[in-house]
Amino acid sequence: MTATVLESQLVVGATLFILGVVGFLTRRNLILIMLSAELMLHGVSINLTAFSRYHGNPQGQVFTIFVLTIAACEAGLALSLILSLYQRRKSLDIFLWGKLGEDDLPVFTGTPAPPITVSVDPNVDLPHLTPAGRMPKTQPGPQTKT
Amino acid sequence: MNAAIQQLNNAFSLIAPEAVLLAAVCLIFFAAPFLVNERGEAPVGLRHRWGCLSLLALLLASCVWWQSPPVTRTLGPFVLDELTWYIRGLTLTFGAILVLLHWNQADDARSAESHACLLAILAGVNLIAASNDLVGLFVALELVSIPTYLFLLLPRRDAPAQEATLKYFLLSIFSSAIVLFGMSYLYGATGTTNLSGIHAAFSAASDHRANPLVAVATVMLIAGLGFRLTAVPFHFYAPDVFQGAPTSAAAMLSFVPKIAGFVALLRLMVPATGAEQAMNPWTMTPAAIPLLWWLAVATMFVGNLMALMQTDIRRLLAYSSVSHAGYMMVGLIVGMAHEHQKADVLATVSPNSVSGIGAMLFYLAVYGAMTLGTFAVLIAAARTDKRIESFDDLSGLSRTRPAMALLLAIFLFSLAGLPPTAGFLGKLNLFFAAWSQGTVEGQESYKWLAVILAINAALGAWYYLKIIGVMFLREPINRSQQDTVIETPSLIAAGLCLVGTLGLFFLPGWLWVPIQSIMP
Amino acid sequence: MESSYPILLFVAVLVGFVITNLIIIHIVGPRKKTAVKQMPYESGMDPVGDARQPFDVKFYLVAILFLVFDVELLFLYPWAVSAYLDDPLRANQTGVPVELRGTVFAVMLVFMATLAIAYIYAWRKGVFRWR
Repeated sequence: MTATVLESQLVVGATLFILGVVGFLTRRNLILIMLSAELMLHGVSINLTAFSRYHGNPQGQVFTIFVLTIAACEAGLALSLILSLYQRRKSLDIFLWGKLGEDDLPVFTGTPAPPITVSVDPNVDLPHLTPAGRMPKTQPGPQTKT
Repeated sequence: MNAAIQQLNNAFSLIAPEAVLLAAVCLIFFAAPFLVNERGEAPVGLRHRWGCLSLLALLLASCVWWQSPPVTRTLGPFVLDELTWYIRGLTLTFGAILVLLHWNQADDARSAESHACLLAILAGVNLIAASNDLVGLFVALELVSIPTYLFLLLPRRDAPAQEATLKYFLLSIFSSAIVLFGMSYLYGATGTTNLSGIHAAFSAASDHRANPLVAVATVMLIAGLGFRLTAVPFHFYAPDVFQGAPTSAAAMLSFVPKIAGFVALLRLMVPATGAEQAMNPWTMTPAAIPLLWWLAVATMFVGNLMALMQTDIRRLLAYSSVSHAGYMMVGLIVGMAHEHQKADVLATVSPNSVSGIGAMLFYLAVYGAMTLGTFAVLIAAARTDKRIESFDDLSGLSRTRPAMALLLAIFLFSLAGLPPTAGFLGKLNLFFAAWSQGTVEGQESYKWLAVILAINAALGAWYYLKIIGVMFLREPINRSQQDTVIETPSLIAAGLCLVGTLGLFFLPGWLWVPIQSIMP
Repeated sequence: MESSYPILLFVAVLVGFVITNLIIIHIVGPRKKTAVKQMPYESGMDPVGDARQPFDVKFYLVAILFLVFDVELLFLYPWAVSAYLDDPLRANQTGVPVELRGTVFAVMLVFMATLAIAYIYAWRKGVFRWR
């Protein structure tokens, strides 16, 4: 394995990491922010496996296994945290969570994203499945998908 | 059977106290759902049982810790040197105080999980101190941060606590990804994840040019761990989280992540006790010292200046913890510079100077006693309906609850660095460490660091004294005798912190002696 | 080329199994041509329409639990591959040394016990109750 191959693998890893950083800093949707953080972690995984190949020892691969585990733990926690946040605000918009802060600073709210509507031709008679489980009640709250 | 395998087989004995703590965590998680029924109702007073169990686990871990003295350096995944031993003692002692603070914060049904999370956090800090491998270090850092999210959210699940948890959570995973990136480049540069191996690779480096991979790794590691230290500019979450989180969680955040961050930095940058420090541009030290120098200056100034403007007592304590992180960073930088210089045989090392790392470790213990004491009084002096938030809630405390006011005044004196408290001694140590390093030829910038530390100590005294003034000079607002709660566990914790704060001023020796063995 | 015959055989058996099963199902299986049965994807949600519909919380619970438990395989798999790797034909591959096997096995037992505790916790908290 040559240094050129290592270099291109590192570029891929660093690119994934940077994409994760950019996504983390620019997205408004809680789930997408969490996914961006996961992208950062997995960019590092590529780095680790590339170095592992380059040095010819398995330590990097072992590290990757642990990174994957930690990433799964954080994803599990993030999903449950996001769920509990969603139940309070009925939205995934992160701008709704800015109450704490310095008193003399304005609270940045931004404009809510328009709800996404999907148009289905009402004339076509499509079959409907029986929904599994109890369908949760939906409130007409702000639906933000950014 | 060769030595490496023997060491791996015996690795467990190096982390026995953490194993005790984690076994207690498992026990609590196993037993808790059997004692709480389907609707989340628990028998009254269940939280006392969990608190006692946590204290018992900490006591057992302390016994194991006392029975396992530092051993000679190993090559395995764990290391048990003097630093590990000292940090373990620190964590277990302050862990008991945190359990006492948390005693009545969570209701009976959720108390089990939050106590288990607290024990897991403490075990994580100990594992950071004991790890000799990047993998172990990363997993231990996550063992600190993942239960922290639950610890912030579980006791009170209202909107401010949720927002605080969200902010902490997002920035925490961001910072751990950055730390991880740094670790991956460190592994790439040296070809091993073992920290002794990494330091050996640094020493063996024949190429006397700085390695760009190591430089990038250093910057990333400091940035990511700076989040745990609440170093400026990674401190933004701290005031918001302190404001929204439960008081015991704020107390935990003001102290435990700081130990975690400083110990992780020490483990990464400075070889363990007895090992040789490499003296060439390959190490992380040349890139780290200027970066940490500026971070420390910014941290001290921003922390103190922002604290001057606060009216919310929790936000003030958050900025105060930021500024204290700056003071401790001074010790870390001076110590790293000193070690780096000591490795250079040609340089003249000033003898009899206060070791920077020793001063930092001493200040860490002192800071724990005084900040946890402050939070203990805040919990103990709360009213039944409302916790202490603004200055108005504290005004006239000396009339309504004179003992509380006196206790809080002593802790604030210590935070301000006034005698006769341990905070004075801690700051003096840091100042002398920086000043004596500054007298060395070509290291004058450390003299400036000492001067900046002194200026900031004076700035800090202003806002601590302001709180004392509010307590003693103003009239009580909306406060009467009958609506005070009896918070015995917090009072015990405050008493223990008082013993630490005053005791370390009069008898600093019994903490200073073990510290001296860490960096001989 | 010699060593790839087992793979070819495996692929042949695989394709043969699929084709046989399809034919058997076609011959033996009952047919009920209702509207729902005729849908191309008969599971979960309607294939046509807004996919962004709210789900019941219990799906999330199962998803989170799955996420945590499927990771255990990450640790079990390398262990299973390397733990008893003393095949004389593959002498160049090194597994866990004999002296370490006891320790590693104990570690795996502790790992499984921890997972079992997590499982009991989830069960007592009512995650598996489909209500």
